[in-house]
Amino acid sequence: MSNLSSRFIHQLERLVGKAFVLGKPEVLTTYECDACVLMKAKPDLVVLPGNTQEVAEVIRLCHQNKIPFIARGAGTGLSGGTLPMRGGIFIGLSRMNRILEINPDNRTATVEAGVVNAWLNREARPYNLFYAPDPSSQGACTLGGNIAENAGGIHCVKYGVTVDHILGLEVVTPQGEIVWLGGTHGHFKGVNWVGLFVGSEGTFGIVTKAIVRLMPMPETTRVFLATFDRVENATDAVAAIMANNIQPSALEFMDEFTIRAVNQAFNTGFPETSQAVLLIEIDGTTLSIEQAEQNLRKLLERFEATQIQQAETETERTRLWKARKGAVAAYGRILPAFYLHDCVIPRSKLTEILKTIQAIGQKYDVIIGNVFHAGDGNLHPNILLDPDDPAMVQRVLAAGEEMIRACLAVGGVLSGEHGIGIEKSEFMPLMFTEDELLVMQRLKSVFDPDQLANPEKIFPTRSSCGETRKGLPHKLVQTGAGWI
Amino acid sequence: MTVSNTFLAALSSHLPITSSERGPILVVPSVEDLHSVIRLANKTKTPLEPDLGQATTRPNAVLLDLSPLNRTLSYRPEEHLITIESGIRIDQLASTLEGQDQRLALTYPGDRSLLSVLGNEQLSLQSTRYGSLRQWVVGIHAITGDGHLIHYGGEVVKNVTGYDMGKLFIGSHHRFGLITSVVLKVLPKPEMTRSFLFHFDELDHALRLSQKLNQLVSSAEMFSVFRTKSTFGWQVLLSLSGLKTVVQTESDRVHQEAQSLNTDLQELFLAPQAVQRWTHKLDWTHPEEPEALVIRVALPQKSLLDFPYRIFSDAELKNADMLIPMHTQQLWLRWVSVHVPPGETLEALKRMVESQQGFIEVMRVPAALLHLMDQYNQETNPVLSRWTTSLKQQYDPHGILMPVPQAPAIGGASPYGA
Repeated sequence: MSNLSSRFIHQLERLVGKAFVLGKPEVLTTYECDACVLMKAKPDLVVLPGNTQEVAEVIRLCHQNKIPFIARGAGTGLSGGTLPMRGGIFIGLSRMNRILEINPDNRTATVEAGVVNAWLNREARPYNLFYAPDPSSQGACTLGGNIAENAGGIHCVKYGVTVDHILGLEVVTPQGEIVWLGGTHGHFKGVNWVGLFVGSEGTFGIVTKAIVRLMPMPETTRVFLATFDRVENATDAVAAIMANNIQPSALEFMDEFTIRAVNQAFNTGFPETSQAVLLIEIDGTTLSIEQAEQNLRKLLERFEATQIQQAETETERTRLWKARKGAVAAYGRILPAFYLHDCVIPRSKLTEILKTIQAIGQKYDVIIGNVFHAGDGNLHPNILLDPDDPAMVQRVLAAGEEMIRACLAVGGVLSGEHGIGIEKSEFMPLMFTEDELLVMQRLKSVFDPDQLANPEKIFPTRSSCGETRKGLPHKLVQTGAGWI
Repeated sequence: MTVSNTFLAALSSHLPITSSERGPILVVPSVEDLHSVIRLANKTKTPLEPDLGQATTRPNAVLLDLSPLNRTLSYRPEEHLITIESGIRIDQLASTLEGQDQRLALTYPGDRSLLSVLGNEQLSLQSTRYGSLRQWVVGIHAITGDGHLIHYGGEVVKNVTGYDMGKLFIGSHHRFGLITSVVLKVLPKPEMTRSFLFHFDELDHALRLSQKLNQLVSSAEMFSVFRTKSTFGWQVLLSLSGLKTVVQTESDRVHQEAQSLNTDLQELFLAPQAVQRWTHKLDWTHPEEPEALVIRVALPQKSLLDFPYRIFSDAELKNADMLIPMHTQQLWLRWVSVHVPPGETLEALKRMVESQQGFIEVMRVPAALLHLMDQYNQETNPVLSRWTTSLKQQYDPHGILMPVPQAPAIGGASPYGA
């Protein structure tokens, strides 16, 4: 059943209840990957604690027995961030899904880590408040996972990413202690523990509760769909919009391939004659967005937008955003899987890099759909693939690596919101020197000297400068975990 | 010969050394030189402190003049990003941005160095709208206390590649490393700015107006309630900035509200120099400010507005300067040396704040009360204390840089025992 001793398993069952310790192979299969289906590895066991105290007791037991543990939310991650590289147990937080408080006076909410992102917005709306980070998977992904990855989303171009909205965290340390970091005020004394924990990919401990900042709903919101006959007109328009301080609350790009996929999947009716569309949202007071709209329209016309449609109703706005957020799912009608990259580049390089991505797609004979957070320069080239076609998989991996190198060459970074996980860990030497990686790794030792919390993530197994993996992820081969 | 003298002697042929009443100051012309200095300091166990205009906190510490590290390494106005060395003065940085009709989101006194405001994550009057400095830093280069050169982030606005080392260094009072350069997000200058000053005799009235204004305006950039002994009574400083149509309309609302309350309202015409004057006036940790006890209280917004001022005696309250920057969840208190309240009052304040999940931090002390820094700024939670100690061991094992506040020795004196 697993590599764990029966004594250890019995102890876990006593702590959380037998029904919440899962070990049957067919059940573990459902936990073998996140949304990046290229990499798979099963945990030895899944434990589903019901509260912070139980999480702490489970971790204390792991600590005593030197068993690695990994927090798991909804499994919507895209970087293999929850793969058990050294075996061990998953600590699933799905039962810890309560919104404990919405405080409209302080504009904060206190939530358990297993709360689904969209639930919080549903509950905050009656107070005319909202939680800004909104990953495309917000209908399923949990706030604990968002915190681990420092998730972004469509609206972070104006409102910032997860770390900008977290005021306090309750965490369980890798030794099983419970501690609060920050608080309702969001300040710190000497060390910004919250800032360090957010985005640490579960490698410092497990977040069990969070105090998050809620924002007042904007008085007015307008959404526009702009179509372009040339991709470069769309990307140049993005750079100009941001340079001219129109400050959209969302600025998203879709290429022709994605437009067709979305139309087929959702019957959206985007104009298929276009090479690219931009979805642009502006919000604020009625006064402010009148002027922003005028400026926006002028710019879009200057960059030869062929159509500028405004979503006239709330239903229409929702339909447009649903199509955008469902774009990746729409690719599933074409090929069964995809490999999604997440580099961020300077916005002024968008035109150049999209041409490069297109050329790489042709070179490796792979299909690439581009749908991304253009306002942030956060690319999401989706390389479609059939996991049962090993030759195609090799081409996809090679194309992916070439794209990453191209993005870094124009001053980009590896990841904007999905995290490094296991999927991009071998690329880290492309951005950091060996010394820098060691200095960074020392931070983990502060919190987790025994290397039990989500081990072997973020950092490469071979950290020699400039050397990256060739072919299969080194760690997966090394640990015997499954590949595809 | 003391340790620091040996250290200085070893460097004197390479680097200029100036003298000051605060002791010798080593002038560091480049990042490479700073790297060498830190490595040598580790070998000789010499304490180093960046020269921020104040006396050293440790005997034998060598002050580092990092003002030559003031270069603009890259400026991309179209991306709203600038990369600068950390020794740059704020006014020098502002002037570079001015040339492109851009500005920092958060302003500070012009004679402050960027390093000084990064080190303690300095409050800015614009924090009301633009939050804390760490939100505007997207990239960082630093040298750890044990001499490792590191960087994180870059000239992109979004990044989750590895651990965010910037979060370790910004606001940590130069305890784990020295920041050598940062990439900052900057803003275009607003089309229009209008500023107002309201005068009140009672704090309650000032707070009530603030809550009302909060509902009336969306373009507030500076919005603070404060009292200093030089201003008499309570004042509300409100600055609106943004699109012209918005600022004009909201300014009219402000005037109407002032009329309806029959309040003393003064419209300020804030030229950049005037903004600087206000910024300077309310920067109580500035080295040129007189010796004083300055305390920062972090509390939820609602608790700040309901703050139990009765915790202080009439005299303590009367002698205190107070600053409440709206929407920052902070309250600042200042007493000049002769009026510092007794230890029991500070302890009561601490207990009250902690009971509401807040904290107090001593930001500045008169020289005779230096021990208050340790007493109130040490990490009392045992887990956080362990992590802090471990961070220090990992990044500054020889204690070269600023020390972590330590608990007073058992049996130590009361706050005013010295």
